[in-house]
Amino acid sequence: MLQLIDVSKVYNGNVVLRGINFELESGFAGIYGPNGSGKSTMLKIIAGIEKPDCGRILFEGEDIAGKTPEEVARMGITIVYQIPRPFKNMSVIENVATPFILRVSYREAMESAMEICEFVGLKNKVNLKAGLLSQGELRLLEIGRALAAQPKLMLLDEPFSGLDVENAKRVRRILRKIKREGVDAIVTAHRMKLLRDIVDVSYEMRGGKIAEG
Amino acid sequence: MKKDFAIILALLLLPLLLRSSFIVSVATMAVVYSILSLSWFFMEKEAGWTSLVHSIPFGIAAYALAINPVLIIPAFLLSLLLFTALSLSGREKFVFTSFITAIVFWYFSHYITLSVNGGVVGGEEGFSFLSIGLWESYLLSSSMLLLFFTSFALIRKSGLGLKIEAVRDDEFAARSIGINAFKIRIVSFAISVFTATVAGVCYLLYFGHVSPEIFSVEIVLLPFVASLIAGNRWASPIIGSYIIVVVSRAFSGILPETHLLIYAAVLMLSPKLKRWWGASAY
Amino acid sequence: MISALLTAIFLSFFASAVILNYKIGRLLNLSFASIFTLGAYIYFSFNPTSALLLALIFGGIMGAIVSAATRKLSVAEATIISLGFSIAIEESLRFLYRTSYYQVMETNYVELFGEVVSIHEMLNGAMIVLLFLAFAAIPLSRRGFELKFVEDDWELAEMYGVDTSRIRFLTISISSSFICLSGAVLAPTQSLFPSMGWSSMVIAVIIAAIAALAGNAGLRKYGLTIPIAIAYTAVLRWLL
Ligand SMILES: Nc1ncnc2c1ncn2[C@@H]1O[C@H](COP(=O)(O)OP(=O)(O)OP(=O)(O)O)[C@@H](O)[C@H]1O
Ligand SMILES: [Mg+2]
Repeated sequence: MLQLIDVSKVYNGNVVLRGINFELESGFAGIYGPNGSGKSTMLKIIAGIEKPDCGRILFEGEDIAGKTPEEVARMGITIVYQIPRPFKNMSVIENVATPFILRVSYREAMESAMEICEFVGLKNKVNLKAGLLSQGELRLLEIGRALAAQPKLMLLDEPFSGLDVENAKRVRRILRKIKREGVDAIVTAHRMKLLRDIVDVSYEMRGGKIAEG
Repeated sequence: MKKDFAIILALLLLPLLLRSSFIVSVATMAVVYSILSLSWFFMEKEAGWTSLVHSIPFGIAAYALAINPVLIIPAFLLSLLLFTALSLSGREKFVFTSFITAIVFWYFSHYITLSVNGGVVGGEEGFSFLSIGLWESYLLSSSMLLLFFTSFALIRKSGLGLKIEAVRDDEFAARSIGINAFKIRIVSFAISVFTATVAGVCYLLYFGHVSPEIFSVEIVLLPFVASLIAGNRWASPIIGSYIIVVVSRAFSGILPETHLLIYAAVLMLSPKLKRWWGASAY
Repeated sequence: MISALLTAIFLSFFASAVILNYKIGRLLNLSFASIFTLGAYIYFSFNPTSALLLALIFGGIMGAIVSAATRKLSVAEATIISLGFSIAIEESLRFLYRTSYYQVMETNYVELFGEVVSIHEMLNGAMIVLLFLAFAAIPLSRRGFELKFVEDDWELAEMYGVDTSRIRFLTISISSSFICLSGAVLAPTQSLFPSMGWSSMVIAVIIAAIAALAGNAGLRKYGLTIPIAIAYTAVLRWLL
């Protein structure tokens, strides 16, 4: 469903991605690699947040390389940022309800948001301002908000960083569940070990190049 | 929220009970400025844009109505276009691009003239219109204030409100869940500009006259100062407008500089006041 | 022609001060409007020599206060505070000089290249050119390098141990001092009223904005203010 063809990205003379070729038919793909290898950049390019300098990105047969983030999001791709970006002056439940609003009424959105908050373990924080959450809770909130967008493809940028054992397990459970529901995903991490039991195929990113392994 | 509504209702009903036309005349002025401040507050608090250019939708609405009521619609659209254009420079810079625009517009507003039957009207003098009368004005502007106040409360508990707030807090995050941030920005501007336009209409219908004074720095700063002196609730811009109108009335004979000096003090203390009212927590 | 050129140089100087304050001080310093007016009122209240000195000192003090009051704030907040100062100074002047609304000073005229120019205007021109040169010399000075560094990347400069808050303080104080002096110098050719500084302020901001749009690199934007100011005055002469 997703295919990257010769995608490159240069930041002021610094080549970050060098001719990435990548394909995901279905299921979960894992990408691991050291800091600064270009993992986040690749996900941001797929999500339309950064523009590639050359190359094509096909999603369900359509080239999405020139599309805006909102167009990409509406096609069913949702990104979970490495550094959480909550709507920090809104309550937790409102954060999660916002993606639903694009499809259903306010009341229904709030109800569905409540279910998701329960699912990601933020049930007792629903009325707290998102800006007051801890880093780990913010990650859960980000994942919840992404789920609320009901994506076909989720881009998860280091979903396990900054989580304690309990919450890391929870995120794992969440990921397995959405996998069963048929959502596809690209997940990044520093080490392969973190991803082994949830991904179907893993890639290594090094110096802007990607290789299966 | 219910408390805010009760406060406003009390403020609006009080002059009706006292039945003094002096009090009603002061109150009408306060209510007209309250609508303006409320429109500003919506844009600041709900949409996250600090504007120093609300004098323009307010003023050109009054001018348009005085010249020819048909012009109200182009006046609204023009203000909306101006807000959108200014917003292209980003939230931080909006504060001063809007301020400079307001000042330049004030300057040029002295040259708005019209030739009528061979004579020239407008300019420094401004334009006259018929006033609908004191009590009628009071009832009209009070009901408009209540209408907007309730509408804003409803918007905040609606899908549109969530979208506007999401775009306010993080435009990129909002876009990457599929919200068309630019469209939402324009919608929120339209709501605020529309409210300010209605305030301008109420202004003209009450005073029956409009002059370049309506674009002055005082009007530019009034909503900002009003919203800051009375807390950070939805009733604050309204209470603040009442305070400003009453204070400037009280001092207008003795020390006309007072109320601008108060403005200056509020501006200088604005970050402290904001923190004081806990604005960061919204 | 000559007086238009002098106006252009003055505006370019004003605009450069605005840019410098924006880049180093991280605020649109609207207090310049009233600090300029303050200079003119000082000139009007004292004998010329002591007035120039007092203008330098008062301008510097005002700048120092504005700088201290706007430390560590966002651009928007700092700008609003400087606007507060501007209004406070303006209203205080209005209060102190309640009886004297419009003051027009007398002057003598000479003929130069077939054009009548007031003596004051000539002197002003010389002073403004000097001010402008002094301003231009800053980046070339020993501190100039640090200044450029701060202007280029404020956070990076701070990380490298440049004392950014001192540079900011000095920049705002010195430029305010110069603006106040220019107000005093130009006073004889202007009509005096408490809001007189605003027209120069607004034009300077517009010139600064155009210059910053046209080129953001290094000293170019300061240099660009000159042709833009000349173009502005030319358009104005053509219009009126
Ligand atoms: N906006 C930008 N401007 C300049 N360089 C950038 C920009 N964004 C990223 N880079 C550079 O691109 C490289 C890759 O960054 P990226 O965030 O994709 O790495 P990563 O693999 O996600 O690393 P990490 O594991 O630390 O998250 C880095 O060297 C970074 O400095
Ligand atoms: Mg990363």
